Amino acid sequence: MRGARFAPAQERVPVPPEPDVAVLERTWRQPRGIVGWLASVDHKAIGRRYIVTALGFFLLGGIEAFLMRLQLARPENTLINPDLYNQLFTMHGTTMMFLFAVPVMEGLGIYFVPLMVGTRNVPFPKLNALGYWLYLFGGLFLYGGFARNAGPDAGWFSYVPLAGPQYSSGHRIDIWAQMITFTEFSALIGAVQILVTVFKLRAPGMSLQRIPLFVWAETATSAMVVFAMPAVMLASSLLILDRTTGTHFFNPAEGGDALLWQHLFWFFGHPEVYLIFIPALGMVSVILSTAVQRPIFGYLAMVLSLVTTAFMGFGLWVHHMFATGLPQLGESFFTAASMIIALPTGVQIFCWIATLWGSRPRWEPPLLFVLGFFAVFLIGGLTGVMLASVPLDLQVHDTFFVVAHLHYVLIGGAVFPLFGALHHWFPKMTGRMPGRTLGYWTFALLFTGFNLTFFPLHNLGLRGMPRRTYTYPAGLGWDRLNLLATCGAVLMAAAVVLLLVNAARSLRRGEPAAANPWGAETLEWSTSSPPPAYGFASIPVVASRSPLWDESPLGRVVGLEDDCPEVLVTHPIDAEPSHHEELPRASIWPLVVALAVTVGFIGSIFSPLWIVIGAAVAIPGAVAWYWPTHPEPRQLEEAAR
Amino acid sequence: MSRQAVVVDVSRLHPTPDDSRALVWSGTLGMLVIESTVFAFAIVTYIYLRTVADQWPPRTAGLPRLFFPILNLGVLFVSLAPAIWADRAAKKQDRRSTTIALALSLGLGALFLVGRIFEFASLNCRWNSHAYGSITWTILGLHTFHVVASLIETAIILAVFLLKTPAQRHFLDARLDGVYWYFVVAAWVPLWALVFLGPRMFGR
Repeated sequence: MRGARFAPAQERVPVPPEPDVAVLERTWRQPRGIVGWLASVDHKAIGRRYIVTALGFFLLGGIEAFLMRLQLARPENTLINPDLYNQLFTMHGTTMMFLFAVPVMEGLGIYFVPLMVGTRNVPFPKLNALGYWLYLFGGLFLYGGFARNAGPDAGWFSYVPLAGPQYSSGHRIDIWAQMITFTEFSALIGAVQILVTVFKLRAPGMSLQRIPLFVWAETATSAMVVFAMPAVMLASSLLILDRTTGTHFFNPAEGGDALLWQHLFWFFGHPEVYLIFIPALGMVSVILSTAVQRPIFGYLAMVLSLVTTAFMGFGLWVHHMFATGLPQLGESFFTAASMIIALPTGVQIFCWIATLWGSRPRWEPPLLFVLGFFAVFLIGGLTGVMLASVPLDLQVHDTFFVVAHLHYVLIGGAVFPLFGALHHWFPKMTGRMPGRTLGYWTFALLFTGFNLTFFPLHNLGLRGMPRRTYTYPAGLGWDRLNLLATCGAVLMAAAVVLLLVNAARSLRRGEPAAANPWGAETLEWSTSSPPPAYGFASIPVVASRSPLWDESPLGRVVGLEDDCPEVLVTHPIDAEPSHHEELPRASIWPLVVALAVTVGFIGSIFSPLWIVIGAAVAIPGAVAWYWPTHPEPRQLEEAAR
Repeated sequence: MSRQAVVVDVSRLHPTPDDSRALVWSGTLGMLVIESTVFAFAIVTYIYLRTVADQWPPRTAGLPRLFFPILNLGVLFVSLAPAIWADRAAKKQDRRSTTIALALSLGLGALFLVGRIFEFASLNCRWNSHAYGSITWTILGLHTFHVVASLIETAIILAVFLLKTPAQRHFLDARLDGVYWYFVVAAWVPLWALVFLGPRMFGR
C-alpha cells in the first residue's frame, strides 16, 4: 500500500522544473508592518523570539545572581536585606529554570528542527505563536510582580508549608504558581510541535536512522516534556487552590500532606534537569562533528543513550527528598537509579572522545565551549554520583555543596554547549560570521570565572555553609572562599558582556556568511544564511546521515504547490512521501487569545470572576482563529470537478 | 564521481487525507497524551492522599451518593452515539448528517453538564472541609473543564457547518471532535470509579 503510493513518486523527471522562488517568497513571507510582525507564524521568527527572549531573561537571572554574590562577598554585609535576598534567589532559580533554560532549548528546536529535517514550518504554526506569547506574558507577569515588591520568595521549588497560605500570605507565591501555568503551556505546545515535525515532516529519505543527533535530542526532550510538565501543572494548580479557595491538599491538619508537593514537583523537577541537558548533548554532537569534519562515532549508541537518559530521568526524583525520612528501601532504589544514569552519559562521552581521536579539529570557539563542557560537566557528574549516596547527601543537604553541584551540571551541561551552539549557528540565523577573537575571550573568561565562582562553593558546603542565607558571621572560615567566588562572578559577567558585544558587532559588521561556512553536514546548511521565509527552494531528498558530505548532490522534491503554503508529509518511520498539507497563514488571533488567557490567568489570583472575563474574550478569539476566511483553492477546484 | 541528483515528484500525491495520516490528527493525539497524563497525576494524588489518611472518607463527609452519578454516566454513554455518527458521517463527507450529529452531540453534552451539578452535590462533602473533599472536587472539576472545552469545540465546528461551506479539513475536524469526545468519555470511566466507588472499595 505504502509502496504503491510511493512508486509513482519516484519516477525520474528528465528535466525537473525549477521552483519559482519569487512565488515561494510571496507565499511564505510574513505580512509587513507591526501588525504583520505580531501576526507572524514562521517557525524561524518564533524560534528567534524564543531565543532572544530567553537570553533576555538569562541576563536578568544573571544580574540577580550577581547581586547575591555581591551580598555574600563579605560577612555581615548589609547591601541586600533578607527579604529582598529571598526574592532574589527565588527569582534567580525560577528565571533560569523556567524562563531561560527550557525555553532557549525549545526555541533552538523550533528554529532548527524543521530546517534540519528539511521542511518549511512547524505543523501548527498558529499554535506555535500562541506558545511563544504565553511564555512571554508569563515571564513579564513574574517580573511585573517582582518590580512591585511581590516577587516570589519561597525558593524555585516553593516547598509547602512555607509556600502555603499559612506562611506566605499576599500574592507572591500565587504569581510564582501562575507563571508555572504559563510556561508549562508554552513548553507543552512547543513539545508537540517538535514531535510532530520530527515524525511527520521529515524530508524524503530521512529514515529514522538518518535523523541528525540534535533532532534526536530535541525529540527525546519533547517526549519528556509531555510526561513531566503535567505533574508540575497539576501541582501548581493544587497549590493555587490551597491558597485561594481553601482546599487542603498540602495541609496535614485536614488530611493533606506536605510531601505530596515534593513528589509532584520533583517528578517534574528532576526530568526538568534533563530537559535542559539533553538538547545540549545534541549541540555537542553538532559542534564536534563539524569541528573534526567526520560523523559522530557510534550513532546508534548515541541515540540509544539519549533515549535511555530520557527514560531514566523519570526514575530519580526521590533523590531530591533523601532528607525527608522516606523508607530506606525506597532510598536505596533511587540511589541505584541515580548512579546508573551516569552510564548512558558515559557512553556518549566515550563516543565523543572516539570522534575526536586522531582527528585534526578546527579550533573555532564552538569547539572550545564543548571541551569546556567536558571538563565542567564531568566534575558536576562526579559530585552527582557522590550526592546519590544517602549518607553524604544528608551531610551536605541544603548546603553550598549542592549549589556547586547543580551549577556544574547545569552551566557545564547546558550553558557551555549553548554558547558554543550560539556561535555555531550565528551565521545561519543572522547571515553574518561571529567574531572569532571575542569568541575565544568569551570562552576563556567564562571557563575561568565559572570555576573560580563555583569550585570554592564545594568547599564552603563541606564546611557547613547553608544555601539561601542572606549573610553569615565572620570567623567561620567562609570569608575568603566567598570573596573568591564573588571575584569569579565578575569574570563570568564579563564573559556574558563580551558575548553580547560580539553578537552586536557581528550583526552590524560581521563578514557575510555563506550557506555553509563551517562545512557542516546537516540540511540547515544547504539553504542560504539566513534561510528564506520558505526555508528551502525545493524540499531536499536525503540519501545518508550526512547529506551535505555526500559525493552526489542533494536530491530534491518537485510537485508541491508554490503559491500555497504547503508542506510534504512523510511516513513516520521511513520518511516516504505520504501527502501534501496546507498550513495556516499568518494570523493575529494567537496573540489576542494569548492576551485573553493572560487576563484570565492573572485575574484568577484575585477573583474567579476574571476567569469568566478571560474566557469571554478567548472564546471569540478562538472562533476567529478557526473561522475559514479565504476560499481554499484546491477545495473549490475539486468541488468544480 | 558525481551522480545526478535524485528528483522525487510528489505532484500526484493527494492533498490532506481525512484520516490519521493528517497532521492535525497527530497533534490531537499529542494533546490526548498530555491530558491523560494530567488525569493520571490526579489519580495518583487521590491514592496518595488515601494512603496518608486514617479515615476515608473523613468522618465529616459521608459516602458519595450513587444515583445521579450512575444516571449521568448513562447520559455520557448515550452521548457516544451521536459522536460516532458525526465521525462516520464526516468520513463520508455527508454535510447534513454531520451537522445533525454535531448538534445532537452538543445537546447531550449540555445535558451531561447539567447532570454534573448533581454529581458535585452527590459527593456529600465540600472542597474546603478536608483533603478528601479537595481531591474529589478537583477531579470532577478537571473533567468538567474537558467537557466544557469539548463542547465549545463542537459548537464552533457546528457553526462552521451551519454558516459556511465546510471544506474537507472541517470534516476532518468534525471527526477529531468526535475523537476528543471519545477521550472525554473514556477518561471519565476510571475517574468515576475512583471517586464514587473508591471510598466503598478502600474506604474507612
